[in-house]
Amino acid sequence: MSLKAKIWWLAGGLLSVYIAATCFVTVKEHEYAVITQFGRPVKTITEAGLAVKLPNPVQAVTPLEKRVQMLRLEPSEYSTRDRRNIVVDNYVVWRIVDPVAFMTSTRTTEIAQQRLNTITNSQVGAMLASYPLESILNVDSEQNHLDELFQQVSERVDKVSRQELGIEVLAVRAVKFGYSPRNLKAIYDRMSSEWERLSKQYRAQGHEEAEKIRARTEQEIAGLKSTAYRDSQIIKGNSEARAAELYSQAFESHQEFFEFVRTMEAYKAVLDNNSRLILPSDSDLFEQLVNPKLDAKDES
Amino acid sequence: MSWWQDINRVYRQLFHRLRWLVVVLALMLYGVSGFYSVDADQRAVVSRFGRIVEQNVMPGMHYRLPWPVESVETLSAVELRSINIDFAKELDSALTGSELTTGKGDLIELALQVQYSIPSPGKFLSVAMDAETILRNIAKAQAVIYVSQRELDSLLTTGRSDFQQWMQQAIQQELDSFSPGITVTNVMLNRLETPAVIKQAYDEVQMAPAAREKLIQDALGERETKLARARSEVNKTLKQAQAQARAQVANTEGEVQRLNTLIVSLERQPGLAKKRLYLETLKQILENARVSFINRDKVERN
Repeated sequence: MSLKAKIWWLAGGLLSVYIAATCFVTVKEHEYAVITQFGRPVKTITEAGLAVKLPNPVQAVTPLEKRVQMLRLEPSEYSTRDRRNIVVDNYVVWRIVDPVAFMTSTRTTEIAQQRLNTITNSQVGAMLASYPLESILNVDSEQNHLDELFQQVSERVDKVSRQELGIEVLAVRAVKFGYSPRNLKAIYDRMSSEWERLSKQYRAQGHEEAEKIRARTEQEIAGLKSTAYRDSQIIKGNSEARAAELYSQAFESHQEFFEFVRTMEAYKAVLDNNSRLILPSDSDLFEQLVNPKLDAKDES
Repeated sequence: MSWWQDINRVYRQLFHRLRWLVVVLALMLYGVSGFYSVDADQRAVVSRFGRIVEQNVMPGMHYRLPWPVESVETLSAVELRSINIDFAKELDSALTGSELTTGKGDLIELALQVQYSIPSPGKFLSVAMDAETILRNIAKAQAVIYVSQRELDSLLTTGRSDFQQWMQQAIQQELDSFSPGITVTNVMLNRLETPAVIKQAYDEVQMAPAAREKLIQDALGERETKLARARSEVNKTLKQAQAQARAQVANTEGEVQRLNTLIVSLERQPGLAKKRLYLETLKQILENARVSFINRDKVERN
């Protein structure tokens, strides 16, 4: 083999290695491969595996991310329709669906993210400005539009980003939706004063109930006592009547004697130690004292 | 150059004869490099020229075609993974405030744990970039939505288990929109409470119903005591009245009996008896009373 032939063999070998190295493309599962011919995209390979293209520098391959990615946006303040300031911290879940459009419009992921950021911020701002706060945050599920709002934002951002960037936006969501930290103190104050009111209300209810119970008790006790008084009066009355009856029976049979004996007893009862009697000295009573008749004689 | 000649000589003598052995050994080594092992807590994914051919290789010893045809990626802890989310410790909490906002504009603190498994490692690696961060943010966003629909009280008292179930479903549903090969197995709320600054006021509200109940119970107790006392008093009054009544009747009976006896004795000699009785009475009265006499024209005293 002459030297010339050897050189030809060597050149041929090198060329075939080069062709083998640049004609075969390995496309990974998480990638798209865009094949460009002198810079112009001619073919997009979306299926992973081994693919064939013309050798460099005729055709070049650019791998693009096929996976779903997350973009965190900077938290920012928006205003609702009723002019309440709301801090919202969003994220965007996105992926490339049109590799050629993506390549031609943005080139790099950083630029795509900046564009997405701008689109999302403006859509979120516009949507929030069209709802009053109480139809975003609300206990009533009919009135709570938070989820719906972000779904609408997602749809709109998706529409724009598909057209402009070849990007599908799967979701725009908020990981923070609430008042600005500047207003925190006011909210704390409101919450605690509401609770204090509630505590007081409970206590007042307790006092009220207790007072009712006490009043009822007093009333019942008064009722018991008056009933008892009535009953004892009846008992007393009965016994007095009985006593009177007994007296009157005795009285009827021996009226004159009875009157006499009772009168005597009444004298005894009425005239006790402290009584003072003032009597005329010439009364019949003291006749015997003053002028005694010593010959006793039965008067009956 | 003698050492160069020496090497040439040794090569010719020794390796020239063994060259096939060297080639065979090299080929064998290349072939053996396709063996790989997967640990007990790992799963592996095999790709051929970038395309995934084995989604989920179980633990054990396995073979693949050597580089550059096939490649292996392993993934640990696919059965039980978890991420902890504490809203108070998230990066932006200083800027945005760490509390979530309820449907009535109240604030609440939340920390939760999401447990998940990776049933499909192939999808996990190829569908989403940094799937854990995505999961983390989805969980936070769903928590924000749930809290925005609820009241503080129901969240703090009865709402916990509902919250957990709802979260699990909602996160899974969000994930399923792009199927990243993640199954959410459980969501646990580690902390769900009012902001620490105003916790005391809230605790007081929690105590208030008990305080109310105590006031009522005290009044009821007092009522029982008072009623018992009143009943015994009433009872005593009635008993007394009855006793007095009986006594009065008995006294009267006795008196009447006595008078009757006296009258029977008096009737035998009415005049005398009457006089005796009169004088007896007089004696008794005059014994005790102070008596003054008056004359028609002057007053005497004894």
